[in-house]
Amino acid sequence: MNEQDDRSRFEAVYRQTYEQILGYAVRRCSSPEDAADIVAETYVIAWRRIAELPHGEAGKLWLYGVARRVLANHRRGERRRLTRHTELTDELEHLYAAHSHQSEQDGANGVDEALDLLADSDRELLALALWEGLDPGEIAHVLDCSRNAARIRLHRARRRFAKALEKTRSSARFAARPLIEKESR
Amino acid sequence: MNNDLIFKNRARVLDESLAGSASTAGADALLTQIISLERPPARRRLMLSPRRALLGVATAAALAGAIVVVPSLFGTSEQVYASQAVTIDRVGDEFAFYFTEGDPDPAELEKAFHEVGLNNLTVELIPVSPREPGSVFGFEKSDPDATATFTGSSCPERVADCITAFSVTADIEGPAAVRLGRPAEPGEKYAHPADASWPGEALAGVKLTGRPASEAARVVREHGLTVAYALDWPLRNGDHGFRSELDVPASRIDPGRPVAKAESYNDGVIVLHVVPGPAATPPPGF
Repeated sequence: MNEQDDRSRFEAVYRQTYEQILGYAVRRCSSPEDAADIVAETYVIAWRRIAELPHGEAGKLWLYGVARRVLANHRRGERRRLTRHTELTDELEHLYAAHSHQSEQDGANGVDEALDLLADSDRELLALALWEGLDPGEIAHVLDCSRNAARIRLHRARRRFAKALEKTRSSARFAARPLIEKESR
Repeated sequence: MNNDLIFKNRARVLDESLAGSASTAGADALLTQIISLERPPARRRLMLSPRRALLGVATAAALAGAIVVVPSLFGTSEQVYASQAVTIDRVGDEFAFYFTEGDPDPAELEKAFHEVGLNNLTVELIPVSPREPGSVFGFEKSDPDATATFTGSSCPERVADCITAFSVTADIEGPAAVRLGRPAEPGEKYAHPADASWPGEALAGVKLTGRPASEAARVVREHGLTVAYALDWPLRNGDHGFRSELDVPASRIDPGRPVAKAESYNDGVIVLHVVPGPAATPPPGF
């Protein structure tokens, strides 16, 4: 495959998967700068490894896998910024600002605390299933494990999330009481 | 509200809210930048062809340990060390190394090896074409039972921006050394040959592959470079690949036979690898 073919294929994959990879990064990064870095670095790797990028739906799962590792590297403090993506960062700043108010309202009632109680691996499994909408077979592809292992781990993660919610919601109700008394004065 | 929905609602944004994002100015600008980035050449697989080993001998960089190619070693594994330069996984009975620095600091890598108990594993950097720094070019060992496996082709699937990777049996004993490429200084002779037509090389952009040996030699000389010859003999057992006979005198080269590849050590000499004719007789050992 020559350079022009590679470019055409990469652009097609980029356009087809961009929203999903952008969403993946935005949902996991606390800042627009980090999210833009993850998106950019993921696609830089895809461009450089275009020959290894699977065709079809498997390509999207491959990109999720790359994004997951890029994110893990960022969290270890490793940053490899090969592109200047100021426009993308600017766009994401607007997106983050638009969703911050909604997020503050929804975070009540112990949900965020329950999420904090979960292990990173449980949160990621739930996120892949419920945010990215992947089934256990697709999750297995992203996490490089068997479908059965993904199914079992997902089941356990759901169970632990339910327990964490029970725990944090009861304490949230208890903690809320003094505030109600204060407001009623 | 069920728990799945509660979790889903905690997403900062869902994909359906991002419809149209792939055609924003930011997305377009990023795409333009990415496809303008230079891509490294496809990783060349060590030992796939015996030619590479022979050239290694010619440069006094003989590989004492066999490095073989496998598609991937991903599976159940545990990360045991990670730094800017290298990530190390324990995979069954082996350690897998994923290198992420193009010009690594040997001391930093050796410190990483020590962290996982490989106290006798050292790093040697050899000058190579700036187009292929960081690649593993050899593994030398004293333990006859130890094995090393080159796994570079798929390493980015494990570690983002991974340049190359290899694994070695975890219970390796005695001194061992991994040989990695570092970008050669301008004018410095390479310890490992590079394709002479790569950008930055002596015959950048000049295509000699497939041209008759006599014509290729003329082009090389027109560039003020010296010609050396090698003959690439097909493997006798019928396997895919060939063995290279080096330092072949011009008198043994059929001027009409095609050039398979032109390689450079960055020393003003271009090694033309010529395909022998079907009636040619290989020397003993080939």
